[in-house]
Amino acid sequence: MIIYKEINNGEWARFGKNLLSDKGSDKQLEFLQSCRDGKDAFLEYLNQNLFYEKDITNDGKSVRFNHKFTEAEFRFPPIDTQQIIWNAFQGVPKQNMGSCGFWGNVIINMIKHDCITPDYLASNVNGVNETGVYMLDNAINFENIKVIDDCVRRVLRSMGNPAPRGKRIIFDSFYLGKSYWRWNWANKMSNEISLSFDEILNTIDEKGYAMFSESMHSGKSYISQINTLGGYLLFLSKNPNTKVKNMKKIIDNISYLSIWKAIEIQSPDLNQVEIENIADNI
Amino acid sequence: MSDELILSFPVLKQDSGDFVESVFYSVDAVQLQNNRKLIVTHVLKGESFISELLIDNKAEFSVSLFYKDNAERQNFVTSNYDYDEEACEITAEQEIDIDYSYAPEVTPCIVITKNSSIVVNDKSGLTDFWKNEIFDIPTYSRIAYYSKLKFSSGNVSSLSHVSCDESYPLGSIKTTVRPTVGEAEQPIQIICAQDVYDELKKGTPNPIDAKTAMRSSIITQVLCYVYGYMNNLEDKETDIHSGLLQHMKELEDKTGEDWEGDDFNSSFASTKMLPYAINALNKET
Repeated sequence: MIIYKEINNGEWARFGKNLLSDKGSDKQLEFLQSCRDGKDAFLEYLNQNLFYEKDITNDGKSVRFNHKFTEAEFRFPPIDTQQIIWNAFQGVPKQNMGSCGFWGNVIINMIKHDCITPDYLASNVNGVNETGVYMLDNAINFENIKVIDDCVRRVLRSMGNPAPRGKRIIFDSFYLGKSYWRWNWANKMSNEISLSFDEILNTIDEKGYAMFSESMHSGKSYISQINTLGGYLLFLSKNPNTKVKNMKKIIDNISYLSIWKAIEIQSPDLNQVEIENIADNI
Repeated sequence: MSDELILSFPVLKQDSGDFVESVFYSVDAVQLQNNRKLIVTHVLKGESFISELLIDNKAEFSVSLFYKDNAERQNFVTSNYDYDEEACEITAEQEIDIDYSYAPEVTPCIVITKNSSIVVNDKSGLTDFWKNEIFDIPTYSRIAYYSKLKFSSGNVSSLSHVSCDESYPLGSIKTTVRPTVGEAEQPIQIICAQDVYDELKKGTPNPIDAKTAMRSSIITQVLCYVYGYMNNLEDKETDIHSGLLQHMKELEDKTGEDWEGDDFNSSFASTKMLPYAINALNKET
């Protein structure tokens, strides 16, 4: 079995927490400045503050991209970039793919090999002029404590660091991880139910995936069981206009139902009928 | 999420009052260290309508695995079992491949696979409350629960690794822990002086006298010490592996001690529970 390189998850979390421990501090400003100053400065910062001992990472294989990302496609990967991300991680065990330390190493490698520049990590590109450079300059120059802290959090999030939002970040708000896991579910479920890979991707669009992913990593994780999720996807495919708030209610009800009924061993088709009944009554 | 629902049919679970005392359902799970397999053994004892349904192929044993860090759920059912008529005992064993390096949460149950109607009689295993009742159980109903599996077998081999350092002063033990590592990767390293190591190597399946109890208590003390330390980490949910966190909470419950603050004494806490048996250490199957 191939061992993949990861940053030690405990050290990776500590690095993030340490940065977040003092809002607006010089420590935060130093981190952002290194990010603004480019690849060499940022890697040097990491060498001094994260990789100060040799066993912070394990010996293993690193995943490399043969693709230079634009800032926008790093932040919102379009379908062809999603394909590149998916291809890059074929064969990597799922355990690595759910590890913050693994993704942290991937991002740092991307910077080392010029696939992205450090300022992308601060990017908030969403149709307005909030590029990484803009966000970093704004944080460094205006010295507003909240703006500085928000920017540090955004950079950490973009690196797959768990400090700002916990380990689930890999599945729902870290750009590359979110893209990978959405495709992974589409791939996995297309082998289990009558919907194709593309149909499932369309069914769990950005909003639908966000709802589903949030539930999976909460007390409603019952939805992630294959037969249950199969029924849910079949239902959404037939009812594409289902509102997000109703999706949430359906997932809630599936969790309640699963207390006494083993819907996890009931076929996806029967679970679809079950979910239709639930939807009719909410 | 609560599992306290009022159903029209009785469900067998620990501490529920519907069944007579001779009927009970227990499950044990052992993770084999070397080949990433989980052996789950279900045992249903006593005469009951549940055993009748199993024998009539109207019910199956089911186990759900939940790999928390990846939010992955898997389910395995089996209708293969051994029936000891004399002992009135049904046993089913499932051998399941583990897909991750950490142990999943394991939730077993018995599930109805065909709509069934039951007329309660003397062989139904139910209390008088249900006498002569007729009840219908819909397909896929859970009719027997076993709560999430605990390390009841005392097999802590997947948690800890014991080694000897001859340079250590007699009687000393050093423990190191990697909180973010899962069970199967043996996050707790116990390094002993030669005399302690020799004592541990003797092992004992169950403590039967003061000496064997003392041997067994060493590993329990170590676990209490390690978890006591981990319990004081600032952000436990992030810093500690979910499998370890679950075990830590179980151990804390077993000792009944308050693990917060400086007053916590791990040695004292470990005396409050049945010690883990040492022969489980580094068991290789």
